[in-house]
Amino acid sequence: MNLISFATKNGADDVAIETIRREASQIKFSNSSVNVGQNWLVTRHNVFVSVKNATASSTFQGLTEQQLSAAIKSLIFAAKKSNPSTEYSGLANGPFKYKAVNGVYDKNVVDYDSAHVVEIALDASAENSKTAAGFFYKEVSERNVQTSSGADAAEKKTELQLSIRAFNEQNESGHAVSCSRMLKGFDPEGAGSRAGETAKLAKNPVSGKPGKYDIIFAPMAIGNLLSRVGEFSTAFNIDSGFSCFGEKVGKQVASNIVNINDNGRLQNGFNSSHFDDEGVPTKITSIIRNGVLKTYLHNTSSARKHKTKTTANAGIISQRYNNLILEPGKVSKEKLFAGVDNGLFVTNVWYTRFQSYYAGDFSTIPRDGIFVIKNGVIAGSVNNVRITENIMRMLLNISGLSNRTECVQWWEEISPPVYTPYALIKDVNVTLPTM
Amino acid sequence: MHDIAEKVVSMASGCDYADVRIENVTGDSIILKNGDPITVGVTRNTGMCIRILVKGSLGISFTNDFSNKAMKEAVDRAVKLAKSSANIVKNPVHMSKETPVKGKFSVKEKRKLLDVTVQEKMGELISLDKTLVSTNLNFATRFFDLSTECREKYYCNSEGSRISSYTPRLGLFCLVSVKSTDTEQRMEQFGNSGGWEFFNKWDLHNKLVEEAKMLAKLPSMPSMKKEIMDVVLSPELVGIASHESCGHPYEADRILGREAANAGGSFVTKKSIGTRIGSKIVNLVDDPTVKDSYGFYLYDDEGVKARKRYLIKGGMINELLQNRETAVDFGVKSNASSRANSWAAEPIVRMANTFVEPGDHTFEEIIDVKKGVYIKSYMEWNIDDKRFNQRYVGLEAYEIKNGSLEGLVKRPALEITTPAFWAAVDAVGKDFELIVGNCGKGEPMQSIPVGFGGPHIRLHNVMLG
Repeated sequence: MNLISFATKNGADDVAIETIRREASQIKFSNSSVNVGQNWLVTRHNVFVSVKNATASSTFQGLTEQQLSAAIKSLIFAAKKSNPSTEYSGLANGPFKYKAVNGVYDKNVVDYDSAHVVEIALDASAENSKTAAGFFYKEVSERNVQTSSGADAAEKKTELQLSIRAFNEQNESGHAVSCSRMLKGFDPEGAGSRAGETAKLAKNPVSGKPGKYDIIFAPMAIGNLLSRVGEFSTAFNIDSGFSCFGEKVGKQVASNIVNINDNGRLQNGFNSSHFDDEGVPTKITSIIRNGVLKTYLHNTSSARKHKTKTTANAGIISQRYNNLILEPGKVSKEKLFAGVDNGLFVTNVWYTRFQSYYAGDFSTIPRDGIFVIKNGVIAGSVNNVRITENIMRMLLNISGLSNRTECVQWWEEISPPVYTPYALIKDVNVTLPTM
Repeated sequence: MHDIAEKVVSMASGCDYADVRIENVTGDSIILKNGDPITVGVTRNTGMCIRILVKGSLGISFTNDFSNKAMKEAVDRAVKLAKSSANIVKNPVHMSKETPVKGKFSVKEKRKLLDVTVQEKMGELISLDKTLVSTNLNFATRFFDLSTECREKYYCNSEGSRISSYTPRLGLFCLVSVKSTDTEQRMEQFGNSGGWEFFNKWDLHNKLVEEAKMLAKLPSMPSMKKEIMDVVLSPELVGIASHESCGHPYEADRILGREAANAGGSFVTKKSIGTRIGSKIVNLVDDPTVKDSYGFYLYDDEGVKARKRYLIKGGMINELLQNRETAVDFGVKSNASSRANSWAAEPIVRMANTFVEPGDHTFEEIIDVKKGVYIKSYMEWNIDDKRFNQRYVGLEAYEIKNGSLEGLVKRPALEITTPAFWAAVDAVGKDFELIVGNCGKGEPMQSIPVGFGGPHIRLHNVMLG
């Protein structure tokens, strides 16, 4: 059955249907032992309809064709009974011509031995740590988007993700990830090694001291904050109050060495796709150029509201970034360290929460290896610290970027992925529990 | 559901253990942003989780294809996956011995959620929005997300447990931003298990208007100086502290390291039970059986009958949250803490409703201090991944002088360790309120409805800044 025709015949003005068939498996481990193997074989239909500018959307899962048609009818009924949105202004007009993105599907992923990957990562981490926890996830999926405005796009995707956290004694840990769409570029051994090495380096941490520090953030740490920058850049979050970038387009929001792009077409990009949820061909969008905010991320409706063009970041209701990229600097990581006389090196952070999205006031908690830097070299390990800051102030205080980016994505902390170098930020406020 | 689940369990008869959970969810959601109805969401979601255990190796399949062929293949995939990683299973998985149960529960709705039309729900949100606008305050943004769901579940396992349930839930997320000299924001959630009748019980019009007026005043209020003083916490603050610094570290799977990669571990160890963590007047429980609560259930997702768990009793660490897998390691029985947020997720150790039990103080007695601060609500909070070092930043907060509430103070921050927090409790109120939230844990991430709260409490001589 052609679901688009079915929906329009039943009263929908605009229709977009995204169908995803996902076959995925995961091995989860802790204490260097496998806890569980999980697999998903799931088909879902994300259906969007509008009736006289009132919109309704849904994810339908596990329905037979007959149930799906009934569900679409109920969705149209919901739109008819709803009130029109002043913000909705239609779907992008297709048809579109698409250019494939390289490195997003690798047939060799299908039979890739998951248990062996876990063994490789555990062995690598074990060289420098006692135990490790984490997961390996692989997915093969097919996705297509059809709209009543003529978009018709399809793709096959693969992905491989390893997240490993290595532990020695209490508070001595290191976390690393490897994310790739293709077998080439996937490095479970490297991730295991890096996690183990950080855990070893974090030996005998002592309580940190509050104050202002120059801090070098490793990719997983700065990636967490950049992920917020990506979220804050969407028009939906600007208009809803979940951002400090409102009315800041054209203004300096970061230091002039900061260039941040969204690239939906990145080769082997962990969240690359050649079309968004409206079927619009994806592109590279400069969000921050030389520290100046250039644009928000848009779909067709938000673009019309903000009097600009879509950046191909639909979600039809809310937008999302694809692959957020902080462009690298010119110096090596080693040179970046050499420029810090008295500072900290933070390898990871989590639990970033805002007191005010508008102001950008927040705190976040460094975890895993946190190190003191003295005269350019690591001089000890600390714990119990918290970064209590303002995100705009931190962006403006970025004073150095290393010359190579890494892809980082883990849990809800960084997702979708961020590609980032190491970043040196001056004068960062660090607090500690007082009792 | 029943016949399908029975069939799948029989397909797994060669395994040491098998269970099947089928869920069918029907619901809707409405987003209203700055008065504009952004969209109506409709949920129709059905699928199953099949867990099998083969020689200490746990395999799980999730599928939403209910054909015989697909279900058999799902069982086979779970078995294959379990066997394929058997040589890296150093700590075999076992399930605690539990008496098989046949149970059923159904949450009553005075007014069924599915009987309330989209028009009526939308109308309620628009009315609420108009009430805010009519205050003539300068709103930067107003954001509401109202969701309802009716979740049917059928659970059966190879040991003979058979449980069916029906749980309707409704929840509302709000973010209101008010501009005066600066913009201040209030984010909060409301929710219950039950019918539409709860929407009106939330008293949203009065509550949100009062909070918006407070937000307008806040930018011109004085900031806090760092100082040691007595701090009175509202049920909202008590709730988040109970959830973060007691509920989470008492999850047995975290203590065993099973969630160490993402959600983290715990400062609590196997040896901590029976040791002091708080003052003698602290009694803190997690209870799934609280009627109407957002975290309500009567049987968990491993078919174990739910009960109240005393996590802290008289200031001592008393009991941990256990599922059937962790219970074996601790040599105890499961206390029904196993929950999954959907059919497409594995059941893991979760909280339900976590709260401090009421004491004997009136609010007037609690604020009867020479100098202090009363923190009524918060925005920013976080805690480290061992659940030891936490921070709560007050939003609506008042200075206390000689036993009476004075003016608003801006952003009092309590940054404190878990033992110091619970040891400082010197008064517990006789009032009680449950707040609601969505708790995140697991890989892939599972966001699950929970309650948290308690009475007002007082912390004696803590550093506030």
